Amino acid sequence: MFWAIVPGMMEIPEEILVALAQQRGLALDAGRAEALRPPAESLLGRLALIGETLPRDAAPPPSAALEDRAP
Amino acid sequence: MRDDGLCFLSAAELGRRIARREVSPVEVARAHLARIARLDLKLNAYLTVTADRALAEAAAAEREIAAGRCRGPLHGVPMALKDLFDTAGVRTTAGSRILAENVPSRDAAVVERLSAAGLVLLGKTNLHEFAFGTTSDNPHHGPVRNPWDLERSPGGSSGGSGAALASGLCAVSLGTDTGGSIRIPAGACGVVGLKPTLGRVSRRGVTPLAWSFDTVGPMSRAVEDAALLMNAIAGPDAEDEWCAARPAEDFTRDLEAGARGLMLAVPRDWFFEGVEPGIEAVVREAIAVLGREGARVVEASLPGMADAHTAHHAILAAEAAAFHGPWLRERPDDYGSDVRRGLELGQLVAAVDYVNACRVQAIVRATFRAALAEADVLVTPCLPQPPPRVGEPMSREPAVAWNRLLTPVNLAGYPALSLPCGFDGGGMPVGLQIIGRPFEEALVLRVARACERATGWGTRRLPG
Repeated sequence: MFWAIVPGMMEIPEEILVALAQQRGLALDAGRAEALRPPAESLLGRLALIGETLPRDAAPPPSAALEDRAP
Repeated sequence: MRDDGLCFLSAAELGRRIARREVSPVEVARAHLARIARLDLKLNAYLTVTADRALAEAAAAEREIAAGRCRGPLHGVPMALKDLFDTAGVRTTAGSRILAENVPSRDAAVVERLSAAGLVLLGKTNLHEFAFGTTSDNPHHGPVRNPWDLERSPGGSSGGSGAALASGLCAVSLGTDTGGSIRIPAGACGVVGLKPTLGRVSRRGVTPLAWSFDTVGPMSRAVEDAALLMNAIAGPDAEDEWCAARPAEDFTRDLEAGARGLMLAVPRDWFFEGVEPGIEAVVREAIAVLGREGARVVEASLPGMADAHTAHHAILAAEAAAFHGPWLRERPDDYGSDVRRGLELGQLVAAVDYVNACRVQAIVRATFRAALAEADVLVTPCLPQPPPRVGEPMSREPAVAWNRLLTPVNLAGYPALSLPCGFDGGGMPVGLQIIGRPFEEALVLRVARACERATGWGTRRLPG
């Protein structure tokens, strides 16, 4: 399977969606795949764009409690 | 006073009258139970009513107080708990079919604390299935309805708690907030809802939605009641790794200090974009009231909130999918369609997307930190639109999501409160969101109380 979300190109073919779900142990029939496709294309497309535009020095927050950084 | 009058007193006032033995906790519990029996067929706010237990607890409170052993300001006051909190011996469904027969053997930490403070359990409130949604349109237990307009949603996920408070079916309640689930029903039902700082209140014994954001907080009709509930539930818990070590404090200490001398920042972008004009007008008037009360009002810039909403959605969906994975694979048909779709979507979020969302989280925290470096609080609308019709599907798209003014605060982990501040042109309540610095809930409550005192909106009650 060769497929990737390209930033700005928000289209996931139904068979790819079904295959991705199968990899996670989920069975998607045609109706469920059709219902899932718009939110999946939107969220994964936006995440792909974020991944392209994040500053290189942006790191995830440390795992310590918020309290440690409270003013 | 008519029994129904008891059901609209603030919890603080009820507690004072109970402590002075002017009213019996049994009388108060009976008044609430009668009102539930009369009104909840329409509202569907409760999933379980624990009438016998409530009367027994109320009788015990009465005996203790008569013997001079009052436990505190909420002793004998009736509460409702979102059906996400474990209650020993009482069914805890999380609003689901999957946990429909679940009867925990131990109370959640916050339930233990409220019981120790002497509150009386009236029952467990309806919610969006597994707290994963904003409407409380529950496919298994029926939709909760908004007391201000029965055709509309009360918001969610803690919708039963919001509806019960607004209609006098309990004195106080506890909700959870992962993406607005306390503040949405508070805003939609015209009650007070406080999402504390992440880690301020123990989550032990609460069905998780997304560990990175789940918070437990008070819902009430009066700001003072929310502060009293915080006094009862906040503080360290050795059994909850996420619970901060910071000691409990008196959240009522500054309630009457007013707004004079405080700086309020009003975001100039995102938080007012796409907000219905009638809602914006009410919110801006509430901010002006705080200005007249002596607060200095300034503008603030918080860029990047659309990405914040997206990052929040990705983390929430992925974590929820991780928790629900086994059930989703084994019992997919036992989920409602919207929650199932949300969990399936979470299964598709790749590890690299999750990490990038966490990188956005760090940026958003820095943005909030900068905005609150000088200002004491941020003030924004709570909800951009009035509640949807019951059954209306909801979008999670950043531009239109009903919770889009709330999710950035969950991503940052900061405390925020929704305060009733008026009504829109359609007669639906409007909420003012007050966002504070981490662990400064007392200051958030102070601002809320100043606005409540000046506007008096919190005292308007429903007919019936």
